[in-house]
Amino acid sequence: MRDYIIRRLLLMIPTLLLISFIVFLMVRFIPGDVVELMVMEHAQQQAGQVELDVEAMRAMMGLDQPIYVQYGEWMSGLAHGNLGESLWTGRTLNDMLVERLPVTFELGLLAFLIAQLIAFPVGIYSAIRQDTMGDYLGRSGAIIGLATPNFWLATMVMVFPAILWGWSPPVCYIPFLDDPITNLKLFIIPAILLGTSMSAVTMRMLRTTMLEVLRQDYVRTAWSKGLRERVVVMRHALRNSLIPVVTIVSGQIPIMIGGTVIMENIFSLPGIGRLFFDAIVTRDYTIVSGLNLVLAGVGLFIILATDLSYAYLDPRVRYK
Amino acid sequence: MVTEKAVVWLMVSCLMAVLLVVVSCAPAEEIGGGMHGTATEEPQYGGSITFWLVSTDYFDPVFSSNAGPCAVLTYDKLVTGDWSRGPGGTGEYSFEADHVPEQFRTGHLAESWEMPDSQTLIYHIRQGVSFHDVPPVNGREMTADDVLYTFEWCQNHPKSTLYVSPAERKAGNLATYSKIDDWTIRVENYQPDIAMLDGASWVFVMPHEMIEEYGDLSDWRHACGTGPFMVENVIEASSATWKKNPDYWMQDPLHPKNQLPYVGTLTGVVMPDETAALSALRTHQLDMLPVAWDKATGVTESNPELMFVERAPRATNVMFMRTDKEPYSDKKVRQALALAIDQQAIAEEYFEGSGYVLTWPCLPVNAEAFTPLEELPEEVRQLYEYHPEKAKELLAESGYPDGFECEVIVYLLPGAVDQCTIVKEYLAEVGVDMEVNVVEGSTFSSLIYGRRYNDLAYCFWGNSSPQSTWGWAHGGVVDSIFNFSGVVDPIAEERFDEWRATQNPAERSRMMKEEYLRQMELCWEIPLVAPAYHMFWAPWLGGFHGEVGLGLTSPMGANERFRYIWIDQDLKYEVTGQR
Repeated sequence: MRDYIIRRLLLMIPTLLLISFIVFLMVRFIPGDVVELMVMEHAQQQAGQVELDVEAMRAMMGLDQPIYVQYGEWMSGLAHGNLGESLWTGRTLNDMLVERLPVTFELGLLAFLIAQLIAFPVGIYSAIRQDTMGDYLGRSGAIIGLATPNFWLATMVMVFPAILWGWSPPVCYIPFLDDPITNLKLFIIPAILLGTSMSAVTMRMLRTTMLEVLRQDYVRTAWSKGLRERVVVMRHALRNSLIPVVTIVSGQIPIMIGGTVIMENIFSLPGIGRLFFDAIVTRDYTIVSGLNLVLAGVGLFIILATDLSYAYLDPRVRYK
Repeated sequence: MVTEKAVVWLMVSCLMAVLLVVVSCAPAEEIGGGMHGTATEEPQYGGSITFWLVSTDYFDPVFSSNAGPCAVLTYDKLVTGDWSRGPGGTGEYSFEADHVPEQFRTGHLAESWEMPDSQTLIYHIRQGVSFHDVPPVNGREMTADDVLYTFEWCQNHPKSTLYVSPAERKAGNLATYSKIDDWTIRVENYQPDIAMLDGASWVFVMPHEMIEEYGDLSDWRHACGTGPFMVENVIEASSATWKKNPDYWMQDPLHPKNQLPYVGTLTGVVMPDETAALSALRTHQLDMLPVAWDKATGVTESNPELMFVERAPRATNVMFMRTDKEPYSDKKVRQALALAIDQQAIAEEYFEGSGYVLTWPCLPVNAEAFTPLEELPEEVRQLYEYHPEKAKELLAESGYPDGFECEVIVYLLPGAVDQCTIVKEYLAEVGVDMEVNVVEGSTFSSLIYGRRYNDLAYCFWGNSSPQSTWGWAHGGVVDSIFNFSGVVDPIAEERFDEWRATQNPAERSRMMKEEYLRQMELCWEIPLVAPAYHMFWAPWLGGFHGEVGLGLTSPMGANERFRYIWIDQDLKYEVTGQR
């Protein structure tokens, strides 16, 4: 197992190198040049009276160098632990991550917990009470959760309470440690919206796998031994149903980053998702490249953790 | 049986209905709303204002475009708009546009200025102004040396509007700055340019100690100016908080005994989503917000206590054309396209009466160069009317009797694609088959700024000063990045040089009007209908009447208004239950 883990960790290096190269190139091929955007934005504010020196700005940002030189400099920075600096503000991505990561982490964690708190009880109940009213309600809820875009829900949550009751979520982000209550007031709604849409997928997969496992001979044996329902379901059926569910759940974590972009924009949360979106829109090449690398690394670790969890869940799975 | 409660509700409903009717009938530029009352006339100290902020990233006053909203609270400029002549004072000027005409400007850190000729500007620096009490500056007095240092720092910084490249320096194309005495600065431009004074609006005076210590002022922790507010805290991409500068030098020009500012705290909140910002306005978490035309009626209905003003837009939708290639190089083709579009119908039907048919390149907000539609010569006025038969004739004369195919690029802005689709239908009636190509925002910018679009480009555009289109798009600078239409107009270029060497304001105004009439007839671009501009604000904001432009020639001065605004805390408590 140890050798397997080491091998997987080592394999991450060439994977990340390849990803870094592809992303570094791709972002520079997107139509729209960052210097032109800067000049445009600056001159719009200055009534176009004076234009910025495009070539001087390009040189100042190192964008006049050949692509391979720029890549080499970026990789050199990475080797020293510097993920890059924003072309617009000059701030390092490291500093931005320190500030923004807790926001996305908190939102993601809350959404994840809410998703599992909804998905597991509903999925298990739907499976053990198949074709009852509870099952139909659970499945209908899942379909609605899957079909309803969470950005639409978020907009409805923003608009109607403001018009009908004069209420809207807090506008200013407060760190959790500064004021936990206000912080949670700000996060709870986007977390619920994100979590409910994630829970639908998990709930459906869990119900399906549970139904399959509940039909197995060893479960029938457990029933016939007179074990209580809770023991049969939780100890025998659920654990054996979890492998596909874990795959689904772990796959949702990177997807959640995409969901957080929308929620962070609508609820004005200063997280990684918004940073990523803004960086792409403003063609902040270094931020996009650096963030992609970070997220790719996180994704690879999640995949590794998922694979290792199979060995825990199913003793028959062994890695050499 | 009719209860007392029912009677009260009926009366309140009738009153609301009457107010709504009154508000909806209010003429443009009259202030509406205020169902629960408005702020007192007598300024009060204290309280806080929360406003919408674009970004928390830019505190460096050198990069003044994005720093504008932030920097203008912490730093002062040399010249500003004269608040005492605005709606709160004599009412001579509304400050509704980014551009502030010369006669409505006043000295700020420069007590006064002179222009002995069109190449020279002399500033008399105000005495008794202190920087914030922040180390290592420690509240010392600002002097002419700081102004000089600022000009020279900006001249060497590529992100500053005063930047001069090495090539330009070598060619001698730069302004020189010198100190005449301890309180007087001379600026000598290398060529005549009467608009030099506008450059003062982009210079925030900085203390040299901060730059020498930290390299630049991009970090908000190093913000140190002479301005009315001091940065207290910033949560990146979320909010910025300023507290009042207790030693601010300025008195209120409308209440000379009062030291400014009145408000104790300002909070700027970054809200990228328009719906969220509107909800925050409705629930009084934001104290002011510009609102899109199609949402404005909803806000007045749901929140009649909010004050608002409706105005002609400061910019308009424009269809740019590649006049450097066929068929748009032919004036008749350009005029034909303009004649084929029924702008009045778009204003009334699509924009539901909130649309404005605007002339281009001069907008109504640039009053000193503007000629109203009804006063235009007939051959120019009809370009803003609907004459499809004449359009067909002109196309036939140009060699396109059956029309032609073309493409317009547009980015996804509210109403933009809709209006392009409407224009497409109008042009189809005269034989022009226009394909609407929707592209992403940054891609659009790159296409239009590099003039890499094929035929037509549609966007929301404006002129912050009356001369800006003339100066950078219609010949003043032929290869300007803003010459989206590729205009080559030697007459415009020659006249622009004459204009900027002319010192008499009345003569400059006459020259602009005359030149713009000529350019309108040439139809380098086609202006399309733009919706009215709405600004909403909380009724407890005293001294505020919807003013926008104090930046002289750019929107970055808008936040200067916070210097003068106060909070009626009793009214705020009555409406919100909070102070």
